[in-house]
Amino acid sequence: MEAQKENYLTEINELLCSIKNDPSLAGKVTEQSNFIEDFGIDSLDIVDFMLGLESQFDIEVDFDAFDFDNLTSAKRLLAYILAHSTTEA
Amino acid sequence: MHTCVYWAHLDPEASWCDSNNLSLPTPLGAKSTLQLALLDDMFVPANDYDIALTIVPKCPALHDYHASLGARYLTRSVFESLDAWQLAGTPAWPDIFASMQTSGEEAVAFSAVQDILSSSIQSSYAYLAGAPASGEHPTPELSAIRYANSKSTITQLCHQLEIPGLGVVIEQQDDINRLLELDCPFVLKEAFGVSGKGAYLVKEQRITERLVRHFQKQSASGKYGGLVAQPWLDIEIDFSSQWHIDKQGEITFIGLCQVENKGFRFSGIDLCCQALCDVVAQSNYDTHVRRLLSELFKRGYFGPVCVDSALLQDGTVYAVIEVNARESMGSIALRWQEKLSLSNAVRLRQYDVHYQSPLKLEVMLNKLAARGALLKSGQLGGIVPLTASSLALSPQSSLAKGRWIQLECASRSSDYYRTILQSCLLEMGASLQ
Repeated sequence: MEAQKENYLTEINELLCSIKNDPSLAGKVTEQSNFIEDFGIDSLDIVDFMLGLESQFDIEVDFDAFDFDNLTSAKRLLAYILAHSTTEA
Repeated sequence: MHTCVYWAHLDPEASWCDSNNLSLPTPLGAKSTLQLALLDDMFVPANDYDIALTIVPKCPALHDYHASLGARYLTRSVFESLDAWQLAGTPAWPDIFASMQTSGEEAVAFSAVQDILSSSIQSSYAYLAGAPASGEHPTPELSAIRYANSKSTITQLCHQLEIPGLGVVIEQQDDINRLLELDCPFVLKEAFGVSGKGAYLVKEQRITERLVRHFQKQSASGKYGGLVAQPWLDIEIDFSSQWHIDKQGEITFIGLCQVENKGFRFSGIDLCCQALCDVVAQSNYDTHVRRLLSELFKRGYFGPVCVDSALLQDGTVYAVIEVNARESMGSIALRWQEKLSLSNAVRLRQYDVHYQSPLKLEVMLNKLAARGALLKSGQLGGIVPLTASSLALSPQSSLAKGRWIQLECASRSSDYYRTILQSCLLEMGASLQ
């Protein structure tokens, strides 16, 4: 489980680097990261970020029910992904 | 001589939007950032005896600096300090107006502000439904304001008036599947999206299919309309024109400016664009826009209007991309140009700033002056900072984000001034994003 979390964090980090077009963000995402405040994910980035998460983890997010607070903590986002990828599987 | 009170709410679209409209995939609870509420300090009154009414007190150092350049005006604020505003829960203008309409202590707290607004002529950045009326000066009905600002109604109106336009309006559930017929890339816009949110560039068919599933789901839950799909245009120059429709329907052209965007993000205004003005003058631009504005007046709207337009790479002038029936960054730049009696060679630039502790503007002004970059009375070139409040918040997280907006009286390039600004900020533990 811990190894899976680490892998997921790495994949989220790669997605973040791609969305922000900033390779220097590599390795910066931790469970404590706040994507909005720490990495400047703004309202224009959010759609790309969310759709990127769907592709990366083979999940389908219900955007009208997805809590914005999930983006204020990588730990919460990981929990969301794990819960939904399990369901999907 | 009537005193006019100037107040600005820079996120009016959030008040105008219809929650029943279809919307792009945005998580629940995404809010406007605090910085938007504090940018009201850049909305400058026209006359010395007019009042700039801001949410928190205007930075004294900035006010004094503007006065040294000849831009004099009176100031009042809703809250006595930034701390008081934060203690009150950081209300924006719509929250303040809502409190005024209650009968409890909240209304009493804002009674002085209500008195100022209701006893003066108001000049606001945008009309808000809850703002106290100032007796003899009626404002348009909310339905007319919404009509004039909605991208979907404006697209339909352009079609009706035969103003060239290529947007597809997604109104009914059946329209959603029409998105699948569009060639990528195309831009999806919410009816009340603005620079920075509510627009998305769809680059692949796979994404179109995913978005269609999202919209179908929203539609099944009762949402409808409010979306426009526009082709991705080969734009050479973005520009906007500023207009005013008076209460009798007379339409006045105020100015035209080139708009600098980075993707969908606004980054600046150039008021010195004579070559562009010449190209626009040779097209049917004026006729098209006046026809559109005349129709908006017939439907009940009067007041400020900014029309976003584009010059395409093939030379076509695309008159109406969007309409913002309110003031705009272009009109703010024009207001400052007039207030400071500046020549045409004026630019406005906007930057996001990350900072670790509140920035002291007087220190910034001194640093800019020491580098010869600050405009001073009698000089021809330099920058004029326009805002300060959004950089004075105590950061909630390790790093706060505020916004720096400056006029450039263009003796040097924007890159030159940006480099100096960056070096001043770095010395203060802050940086441009």
